[in-house]
Amino acid sequence: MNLSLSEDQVLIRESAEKFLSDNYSFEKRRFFLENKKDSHNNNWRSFAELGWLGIAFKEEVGGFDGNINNLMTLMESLGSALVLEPIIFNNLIVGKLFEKFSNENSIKYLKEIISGERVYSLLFSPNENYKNLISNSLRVKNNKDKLYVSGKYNFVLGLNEFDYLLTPLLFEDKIYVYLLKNNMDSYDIRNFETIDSLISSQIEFNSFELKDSDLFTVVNKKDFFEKLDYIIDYATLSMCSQALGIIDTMYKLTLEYCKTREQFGKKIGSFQVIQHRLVDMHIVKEEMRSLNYMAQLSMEDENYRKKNISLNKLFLGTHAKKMAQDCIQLHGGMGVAKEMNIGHYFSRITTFCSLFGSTDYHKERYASND
Amino acid sequence: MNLNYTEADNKFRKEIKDFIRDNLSQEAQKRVSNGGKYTKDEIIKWQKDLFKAGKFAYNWPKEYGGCNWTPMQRYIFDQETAFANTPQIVPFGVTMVGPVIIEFGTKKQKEKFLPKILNSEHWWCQGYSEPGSGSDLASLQTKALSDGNNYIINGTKTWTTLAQYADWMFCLVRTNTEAKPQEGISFLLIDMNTKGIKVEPIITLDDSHEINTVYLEDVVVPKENLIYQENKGWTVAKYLLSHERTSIAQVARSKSAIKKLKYIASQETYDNKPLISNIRFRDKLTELEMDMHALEYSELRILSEEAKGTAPGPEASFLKIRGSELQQKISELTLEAVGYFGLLKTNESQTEKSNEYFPGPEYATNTGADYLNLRKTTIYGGSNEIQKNILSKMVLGL
Repeated sequence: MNLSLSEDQVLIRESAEKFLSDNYSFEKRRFFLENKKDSHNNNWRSFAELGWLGIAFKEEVGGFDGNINNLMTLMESLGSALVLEPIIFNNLIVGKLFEKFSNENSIKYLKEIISGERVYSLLFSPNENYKNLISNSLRVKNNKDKLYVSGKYNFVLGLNEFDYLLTPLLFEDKIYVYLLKNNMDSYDIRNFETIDSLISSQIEFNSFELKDSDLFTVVNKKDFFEKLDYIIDYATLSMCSQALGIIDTMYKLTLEYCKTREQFGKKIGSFQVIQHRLVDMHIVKEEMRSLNYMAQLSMEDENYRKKNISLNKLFLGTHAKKMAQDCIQLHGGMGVAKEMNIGHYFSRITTFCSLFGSTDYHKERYASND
Repeated sequence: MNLNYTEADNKFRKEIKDFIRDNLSQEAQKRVSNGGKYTKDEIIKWQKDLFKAGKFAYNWPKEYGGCNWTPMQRYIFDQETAFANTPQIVPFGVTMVGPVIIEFGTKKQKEKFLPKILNSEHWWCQGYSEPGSGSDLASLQTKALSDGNNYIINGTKTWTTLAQYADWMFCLVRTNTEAKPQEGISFLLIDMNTKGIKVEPIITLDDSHEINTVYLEDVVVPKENLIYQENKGWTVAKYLLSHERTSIAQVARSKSAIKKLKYIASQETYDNKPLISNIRFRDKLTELEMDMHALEYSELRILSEEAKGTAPGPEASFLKIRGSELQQKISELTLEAVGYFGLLKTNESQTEKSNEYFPGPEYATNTGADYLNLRKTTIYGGSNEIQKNILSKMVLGL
C-alpha cells in the first residue's frame, strides 16, 4: 500500500507551484480579471507549453501518461491559485469525450486540445440534471430534409473563449453530436460573471440549420450517457481536488492570521476557543485529502467510482463548506473585504458547492449505489 | 402570560398594512423581494413618511416625539414591514444614537439632534471599530486632544456602515491615554462635513459598497458635542450595545426570508417533484423554522420583561448570536435551493430589467451574493465570540 505522492506527482506539484507563484499571484490575477480576453489566451498558451493540457491524456495522442493521480495533483495546485481559465471544461471534459470516441477525427481534435492550438467546449450544464437538460434544452426539427435546432441553455461554463462547440442533440432517440464553429451570427451567447469571477453563458439557438458537414458522430443514447457519466465523475473529482487546494490554502492563511493578529494584548491564536477551531480545520483538510485519494484509486471501478466521488462532493458541501465559513469568521471584518485574498477562496468554494450536483443529490447517489 | 391578539392589536395591524399599501412603491417592493436593494432616497422617503404618520421612533418616549409602542405593537410592525419587504429603518440614528441622546444628552443636545433624527434629515453612522481594534474595542486608538473649547481628533475608523451617506457620526475616541483602556474613552458626535474627514469605500465579497474606512486628520470637534462626561464613553457605549443587540437579531426579516425560501422550494424541482417534497430538504427547512420560533419567542420574552421596565441586559447577547446564525443558515439553504443560478452576479440595472438579463428564475437573483454578504452578521455588532464572552462573564458568572 502506498498513499504518498509518486516522484512524478512531486515534480508536477513543484513545477506547478513555482509557475503559479511567479505568474498567477493574487496581484497578477487581479490584472487578469481586468484584461480577461488577452490574459485568458496568454495563460492558455502557457498551460499548453507546460504540458498541463496533456496531463489527463495518453502519450499516443501527445499527452503525458493519463495518470489520474498526476492530474489531481495539478488540479490541487490550480485550485490554490484560483485559476480563472476553465480547464475542467475546455480541456478535461471535452478531451476525455474525444478520447472515448477514439475515431480518427476525434484523435485529431484531441491533439489540438493538448497542443492548445484550438479550444473546444462541450455544450451541457454542470448540475445533477445534465442528462435531462441534454435531452430537453434543444429541439431538433426536420423540415424538407434539413435539420434545424432551437432552444437554449441558461448556465454553461467554458464558453468565454472557444473555437468549436461540441453539441449533443437528442434526435430520433439517438444522440447526434455536432461540432459547431464559434459563430456569433448563428446563435446568441450572453455572458454572466459568477460570484467567483468565472464566466457562465446563456446560449440560444433559433432555428439554426445543422449541416451534415458539421455532424461529428451519432451514438446510441445509452452509450453516450454512460460515457458522459464517467467523464462528469472525472470532472467532479477534478473540481474536488481543486477544492482541496483551496481548503488547504484557506487553512494556511487563517492559521497565519491567528498567529499574527493581536487583540486584548495577545495573538488571537493564543485563545483556546480559537485553537480548538483551528485544530478542527486541520482535521477537516486532512480528511478531505484522504477521501480525495480514496476516490482517485476507485475511478476505474464503476460502482466504487460513483460512491467515492459522491463522498468527495458530499464532504465538500458539508465539512469543507463549514470550515470555509469558519475561516472567514476568524478573519473578522478582514474576511468580508474583497481586497483580502481569503474571501476570494471562500467565493470559489461556494461556487463549487453548487456545481456538478447538490450535496443532497450526492448523499442519495452514494446510498443508492450499494 | 398572554400573546393573544386583542381587538386593538388587530386594528393596529390593519393600520400598518394600510400604511404600507399607501406609501410603498410596488415597483420598488417587487425589485427588492427579488434580491434588489432600496436606494438612499427610497429609504429616506420611507422614514419620512413613517414619521409624518406618527409611526417612527417606536422605541422613543412620547415626549421626545416617539410613538412609545408596546412590545406587541413593535412586534406587529416588524412583522408586517418584513413580510412586505419594506425598506429597513437605518438603525444608527433612531435606534442607536437617539436613545443615547435621550438618556445621556443635555437639553441643548436633545434640541439640536433629536428633531433631525426624527425627520430623517440627518443620516448617522457609527465610528467604533478601528483597524487594530475590532473585538477588543476598548483598545481603540483614535485620539481626541483637548484644545480650548474643542477636541482635535486623529485616527482611523473602519467597517463603518453607510458612512458614504452620513451627515453625522457617533464616535468613540480616546481622551485619556494613561487610564485603563475602558476608562479613557469618550463618546463624541462628529459632523461628517468637518474638514479633515475622508471616507473610503471597502468593497465586500458580494461586490457591494456598504462599509467604509473613515480617516480623521486634525478634525476639530466642539466640546459641546461630547455626550455624557469625558472618559465615560464606555458607559454610553454599553448602554447603546444593549439596545443594538435586540434589534440586530432580525427575527421578523428571517421569518419573511423563510417564507420566500418555502416559495422557492415549491417552484424548484428535484427528481421531477417539487423540491419542497424532498425529505432531505424538508428536514432542513423544518430545522430552520424550529430555530426561528425558538428565537422569536425568546425575543418576545425579553421584550415583555422590558415592557415591565427591566432594561435589556447581557442576556440579549444570545438573541444576537442565534439571530445572526439563523440569517446565515437561511441564506445558505436558499442558495442551495436555487442551484447554480444563485452564483450569477447581477447589478442593480440588471435586477430592474429582471428576467430579460437574468437567465434563471427571478427569485434566484442575488441569492449567492446574499450568502456572501451575510457572513458579516456573525462578525459585526460585536462578533459572536465576543457575545459569548459577555454571556459567560455577565450571565453565567464564569
